[in-house]
Amino acid sequence: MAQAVTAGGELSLREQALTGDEAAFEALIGPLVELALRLAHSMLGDRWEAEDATQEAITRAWRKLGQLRQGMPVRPWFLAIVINQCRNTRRTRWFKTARIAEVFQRPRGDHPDIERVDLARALARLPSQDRQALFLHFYLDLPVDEVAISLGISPSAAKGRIYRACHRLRPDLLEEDK
Amino acid sequence: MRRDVIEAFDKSQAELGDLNGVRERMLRGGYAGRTIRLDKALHLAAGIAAILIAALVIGTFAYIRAVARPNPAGGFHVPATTPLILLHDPATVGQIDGIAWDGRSTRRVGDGGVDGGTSNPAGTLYATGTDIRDRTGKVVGPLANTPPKTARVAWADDEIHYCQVVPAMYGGRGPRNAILQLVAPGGNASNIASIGTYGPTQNTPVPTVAACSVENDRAVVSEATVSPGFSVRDWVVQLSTGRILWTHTIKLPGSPAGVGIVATHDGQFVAQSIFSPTSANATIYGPDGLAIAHVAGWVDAFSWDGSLAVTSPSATSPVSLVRWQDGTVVWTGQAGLPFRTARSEPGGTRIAIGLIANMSADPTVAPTINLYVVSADGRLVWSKNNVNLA
Repeated sequence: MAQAVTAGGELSLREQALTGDEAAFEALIGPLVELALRLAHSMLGDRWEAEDATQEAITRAWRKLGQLRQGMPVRPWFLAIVINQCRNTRRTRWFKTARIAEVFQRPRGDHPDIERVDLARALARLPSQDRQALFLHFYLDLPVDEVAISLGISPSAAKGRIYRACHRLRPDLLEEDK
Repeated sequence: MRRDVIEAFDKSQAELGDLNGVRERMLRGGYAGRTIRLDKALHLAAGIAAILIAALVIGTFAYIRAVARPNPAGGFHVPATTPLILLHDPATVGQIDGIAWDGRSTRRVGDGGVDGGTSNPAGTLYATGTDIRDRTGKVVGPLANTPPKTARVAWADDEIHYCQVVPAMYGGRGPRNAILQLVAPGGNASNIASIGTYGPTQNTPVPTVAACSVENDRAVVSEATVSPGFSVRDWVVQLSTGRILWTHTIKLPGSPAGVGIVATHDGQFVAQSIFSPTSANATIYGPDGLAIAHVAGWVDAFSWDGSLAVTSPSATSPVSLVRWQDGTVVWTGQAGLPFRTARSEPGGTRIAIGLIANMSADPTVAPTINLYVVSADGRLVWSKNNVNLA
């Protein structure tokens, strides 16, 4: 799932994309679209909202391509755009109303695997920033420094968020992992 | 712990289902969004853009005023915002000098003029072969995305940005799509629209920018093609969206001696001139692309407000300044001196007309130009012989 594409390694692609070459842009961003969609879904909880946000992020990435500096990894740069787009979506009045209503209507306690339901609920209860850090690091398999770039924070802050999130979820399992 | 978290996320991601084909769909939608989003937000964007541009212009002028310093090489002191006509120093071609619109000269504006010197309308910035400089000689930024064929810098009327046409992709031998870009010196080039074709060799024509107007949100681009048949195409493009406001193609019977496109600084009026061995005539198109006037002769340039056109009725007749809407000739140049270049006073009514006084037999040597600054009523304000305009 994870692919390491950097502006340095794909300099000619970036330059070509900057001149308007859609094929070069597709080669640069295309492999990241599924990751972006999954990330957007984890933040928005709705496939169609996630597709809208991802599509908008692709448009923004095209426009902001000039800001991608040489040597900068493409993946966290693009995922940062996705995260910002999802945050913008969540700020809209419609989204707040619709999603809050849906969360309260969701059936609870009907899952056979109680422990996993508990973990899912615990994930849902995490502060969104901590949940994003976990999703990027564990699910999308991004290294901590790319998590940091994606979230716009320092690597030590990213590491702190991941650790804090794990601790909040299952302090006992955290101890077992050591 | 990691496995449990991944499983939990997996479960929540199950709603996404099959993602086959989603990548292509998303990318297509993303490309489409480049224009659709802007169309939807056009009114809002126009308002915001106007405010930002105004703030940018005010800020830039304030900054330039703040850093203005006396010219160490002498000449009269020029406030940094005073419009100047830039020219190559007669003794040192790489040195750029300036003349104010009232005729007063500065001795030196900057260096780096050997391969360039093309300035913005007010002469506050100029392009060398590799970079953009201001009047203090400071390099403001590199020329962006200089393609194999040097892109011609077409300065915008906001005195900050410029337009250029570059190939869609470097390398390769065949013709490629040409991209109209808007560039802020020191900043990134923004792709505006795919316009015309970028020829594969140094000698094949490329689309050229006749006007780049940030203030009026449009650019005028033209392209002449010789195969199959001779034709000329113009595009008027909205800079904020890349939308083609109007375009037309004229196919010409036979092979004319020359075709030229000039436009007013704001892209409102576009003159298309055709010169055959026996005659020259021009059609002027209005803001919506409709032909609104026919002019006897070749249109070389427009005044800033677009009301006056510099015309050359034929290869041998003198250059004229014409109020093209009623055909009134307000000034006539010296017979035997053909047109070379013109500058219109930004925001003003005067126009500087450069006529060739002496053409060197050596094609690498720039011709000697006599410069005539004429007011809107046809009065010769001042003139200067033997100059080499930047």
